[in-house]
Amino acid sequence: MEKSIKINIAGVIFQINEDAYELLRDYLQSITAKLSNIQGGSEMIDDIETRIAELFQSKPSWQTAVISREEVEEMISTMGSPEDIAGDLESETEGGTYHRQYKKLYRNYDNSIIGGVCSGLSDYTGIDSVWIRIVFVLFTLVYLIGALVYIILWIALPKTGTTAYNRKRERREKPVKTSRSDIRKTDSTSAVGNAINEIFRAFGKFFIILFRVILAIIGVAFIISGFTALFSFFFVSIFHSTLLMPDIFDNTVLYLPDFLLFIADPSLSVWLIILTSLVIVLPLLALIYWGIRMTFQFRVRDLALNLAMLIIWILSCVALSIICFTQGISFSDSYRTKQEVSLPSNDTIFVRLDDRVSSLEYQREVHLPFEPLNMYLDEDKDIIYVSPELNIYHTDDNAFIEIVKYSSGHSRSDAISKAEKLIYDINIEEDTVELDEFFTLPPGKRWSGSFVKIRLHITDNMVIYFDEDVENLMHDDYFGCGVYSWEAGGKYWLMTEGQLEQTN
Amino acid sequence: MNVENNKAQMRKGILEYCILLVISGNSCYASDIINKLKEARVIVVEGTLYPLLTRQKNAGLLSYRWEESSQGPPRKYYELTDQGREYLAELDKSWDELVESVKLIRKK
Repeated sequence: MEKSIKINIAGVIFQINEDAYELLRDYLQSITAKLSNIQGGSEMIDDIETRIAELFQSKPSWQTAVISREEVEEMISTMGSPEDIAGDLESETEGGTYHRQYKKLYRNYDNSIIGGVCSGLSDYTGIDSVWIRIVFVLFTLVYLIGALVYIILWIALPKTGTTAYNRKRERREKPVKTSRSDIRKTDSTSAVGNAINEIFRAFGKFFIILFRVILAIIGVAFIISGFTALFSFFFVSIFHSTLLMPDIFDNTVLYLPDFLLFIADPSLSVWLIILTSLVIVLPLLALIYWGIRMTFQFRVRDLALNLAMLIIWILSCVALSIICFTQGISFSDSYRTKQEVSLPSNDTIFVRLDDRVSSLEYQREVHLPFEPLNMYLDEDKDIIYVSPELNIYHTDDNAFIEIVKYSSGHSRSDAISKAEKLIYDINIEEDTVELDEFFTLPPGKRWSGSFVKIRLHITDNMVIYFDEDVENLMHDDYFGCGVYSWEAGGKYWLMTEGQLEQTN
Repeated sequence: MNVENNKAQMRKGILEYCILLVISGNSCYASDIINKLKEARVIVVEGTLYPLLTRQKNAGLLSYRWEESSQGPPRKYYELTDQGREYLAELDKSWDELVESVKLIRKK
């Protein structure tokens, strides 16, 4: 009994005897070895295979019969020996004149280990790829020069020259499987060279896997951080709360749509929201997308998509800055004005609240997370009220109260005029200082880095009393002169050598 | 000197001309070309045809298109390009000249 094998030649299935198969395989291998280094070689091999299939098909009972060794021999005598077929072309290669000018340096994926650079160089120079690989490894030991040159060549050289690649291109009309898929190009490399090449191959695979793993880890990190940021952004802006980190900002989360009402014209706040969201969300989406790509390492033609997204993002940034600039939402320059009022020279001073926030009619309020500041908007009158801040200091001369108004603007003069227009008045009657719980922006004006700070400067031996609710003005934890804000209200304090002490 | 070798050289010399001639009649696929060339006894082994076809195609003398075949894989049908036709005309002329030269010498 003889063993028969099923083979596929140029898309046609044949039954063939084992010894006939071996002869056929050797024949095809030696033709491949002779032709594959020649321009158009893989095409010739395909054509020859097609013809071989035809010759076998010309037998009347080819579909049921098993191809014998004699039939293969007959086919070979019809087709001619590999030397007959390649005879002409080999002399051309050796002569060098015809072939040289067509020969180009490329990366050869057929015998590649990492990027096919070494096998490409080997094809070009005729030097065995083992030697080229050894040279690259040796030079990598010297300041990584070898690796750098390798990467540069990898990027610079085209990846043609692979038979699989060429075949795919030429056969786009109809992909056909050939028996050659399992017959590799045989190198003239020696046994030791083969062993060394195998070692290189193993190392190459190892580094490629290592590289992919690192890429995937970075990708996962990208995905996680992208989703976290996106999730938080939407939670803060839609649900007005930080689900994930309720304690970090002490619950004073900036609700963007409301905040925009305070700094920009209401008619523009929709645009501001859209543009700000785009400016924030697009990079996060890009982060997630690239994370997914790095993790799963697939190839897509997404240059157009990436470019479109980049352009949309840049346009959003530009539009946002234009709106901000025309709206005067520019904090590029800042200014402060100071106003000093002498305090009465009584022994004891009482500090009380005058107008309170609770008496205001406001529809919206925000709390800035980065500044101890509350803002209130009366939408009917289009007036914004902001809380000032009270602190205490020690002075050697006369006691006085200092009111500092801060504002930002796109220029210094803009900042000055905005600071001067902040409305904050204090009342001093005999021994009582009355402070409002808010300062007021001129009607129709938006908040632009506007702050008011009230500084009490007290001399030694003076006693000062704060109402309980004056604590509302002490936004800093530390009030000054050794006193914390939460302990200041409802008590008499005596100034002694720059420190306040509780007294009766 | 080997007479077989000389004959083979002569055949090889005209083989490319013959291929172009065959294709110039009708567009045809490799087996058609082989059959005609065999009929005319200008080739002995079929394999030699393929490198020549590829070379002529790379030189821009030939082009091919794919056609489905009921019996097997799709077939390449070869045609002469314009450049190929010019090239063939040159060869025609030079062949006539050669024949004339040989005739002239033989007569003497």
